[in-house]
Amino acid sequence: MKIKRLQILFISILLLGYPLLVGFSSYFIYVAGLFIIYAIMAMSLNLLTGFGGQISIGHAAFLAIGAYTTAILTLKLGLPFWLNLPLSGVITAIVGFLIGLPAVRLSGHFLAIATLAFGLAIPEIMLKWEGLTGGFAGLFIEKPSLFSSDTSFYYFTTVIALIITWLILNLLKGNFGRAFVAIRESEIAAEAMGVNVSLYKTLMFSISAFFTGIAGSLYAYFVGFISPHDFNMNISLIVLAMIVLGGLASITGSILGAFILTIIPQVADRFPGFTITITGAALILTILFLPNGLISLFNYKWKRKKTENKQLSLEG
Amino acid sequence: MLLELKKVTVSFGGLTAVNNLDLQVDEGMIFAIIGPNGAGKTTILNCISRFYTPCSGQISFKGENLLTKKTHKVLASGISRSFQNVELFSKMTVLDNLLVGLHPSLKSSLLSNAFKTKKNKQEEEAAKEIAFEILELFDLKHHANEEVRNLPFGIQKMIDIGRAIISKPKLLLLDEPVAGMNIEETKKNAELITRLRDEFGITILMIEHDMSLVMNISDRIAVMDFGKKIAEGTVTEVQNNPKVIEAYLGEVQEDVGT
Repeated sequence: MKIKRLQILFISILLLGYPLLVGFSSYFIYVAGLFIIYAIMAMSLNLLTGFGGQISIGHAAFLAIGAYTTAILTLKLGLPFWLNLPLSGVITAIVGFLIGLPAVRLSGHFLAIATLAFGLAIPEIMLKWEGLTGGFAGLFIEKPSLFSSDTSFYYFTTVIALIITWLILNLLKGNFGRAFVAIRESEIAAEAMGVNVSLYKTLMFSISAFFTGIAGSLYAYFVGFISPHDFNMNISLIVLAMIVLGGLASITGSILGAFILTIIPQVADRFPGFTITITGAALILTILFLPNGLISLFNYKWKRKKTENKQLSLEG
Repeated sequence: MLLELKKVTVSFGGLTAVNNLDLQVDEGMIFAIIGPNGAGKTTILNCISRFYTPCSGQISFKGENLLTKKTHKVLASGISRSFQNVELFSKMTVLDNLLVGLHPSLKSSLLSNAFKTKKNKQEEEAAKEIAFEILELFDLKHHANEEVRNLPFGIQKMIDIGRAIISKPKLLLLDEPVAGMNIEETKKNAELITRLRDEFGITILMIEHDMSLVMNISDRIAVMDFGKKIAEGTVTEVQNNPKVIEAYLGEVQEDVGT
């Protein structure tokens, strides 16, 4: 537990000092902002898939709903930013609940197919519903006046991400988190211990969708332009890859995975085909050699050092 | 009477797993159900814990109809169970496994969980205290923060029972509590089961193949064969029942001597 806290403290200090390190370069801040938004999404997906055992391969659809809710509320209704952000979360959570209702009756591959269909359908709807979403042309959103510069909005995003991390960690530690993991481990035993399995699965979908919706809202403001193409299947799969690479059922793992897979394309995209090759190779190697993700590398070393110290003290 | 099954019949397709079964379990008893493999014993437990719904018949607990209850409501009404092949949450710690057993009694809301309110913290602390009491009873305190999958089978069985009793149920259903255990562990578990009844006032309905355990600690035994109850009574009554001997040893051949 202490290792996790240290890791998160380290990450937050790094994130807060980052703009100073890169001399407020707008490109570097843009990349870091994307990383943070993906990290929120990866944590939400990990809550559902890593901890709860319910796979979702259409998670970008929730990001899309959050982003479009913000854009539409801003452009059509003129709602202020402080209202849009939570509303995007709530509306996405409601969609997550509705998706969760039928989805809880499916498991394994069937759930994967259902969420895949959801992930394919939402961008398609956004594309065709031109009156509301602007269709292929997308929508432009201005940053809120309070955080109008890239740097200030980056800081705002960081703070929101840290709050979400705190909330998710709290949830996982308590009664709800235990029930989620229990459902992953044995639905029969969870039911026998009084966990309302179908309700809790739906709840997991809603919570995960809520935070992803917030991430979508931040995305819309941060990037300033959204189109259906931004939320295609690729994004869903990359976020799924993030949590597998970083570590399933690990919050710090989600952050690590989001970091790596946001950075790789920025570095490798100048060589065509490189990104996808590296990502694929990294995934395969991780699954083969580190089934608990890259984060286990960090945790493992710490643990081994501790036992080594113990042995030393015993010998001495 | 704590638990009553009236004319319960369960069939899967063409197979009648339990046939017209009547069963009454009084409070404070250790009631054992024995019988050859496939006699329908586990099916009965699964009916009581509401994983199955019988085709016909009634099951009542404390005078209430149990069949109207959903599976996840059974624990709150006072019936808990362990599993034949331990259904533990294997990647969770021992402590967390026990805490899941308290799930219905933890009332703090999603929001108070997320924001870690004072009330939530207090509730968690109190729950942990109860869990440690159980660990103490089972002498498992030193394993509290270990993942269950790393522990030997005998200990996993104990944790399975611990998780079942942490909510202080009135009735505990044990599905082969000593299967796969050695003589030492069986003895320890027999002691534990009697203690659960004597100190915690938990009525026990168990299925077991280990006859030494059954004959030692049961107050009453029901014998099943092919979905039917063929005998019921105290230990000596059952032991001397010719039908039971037949089910276990095969037909008594009367012309052996000639």
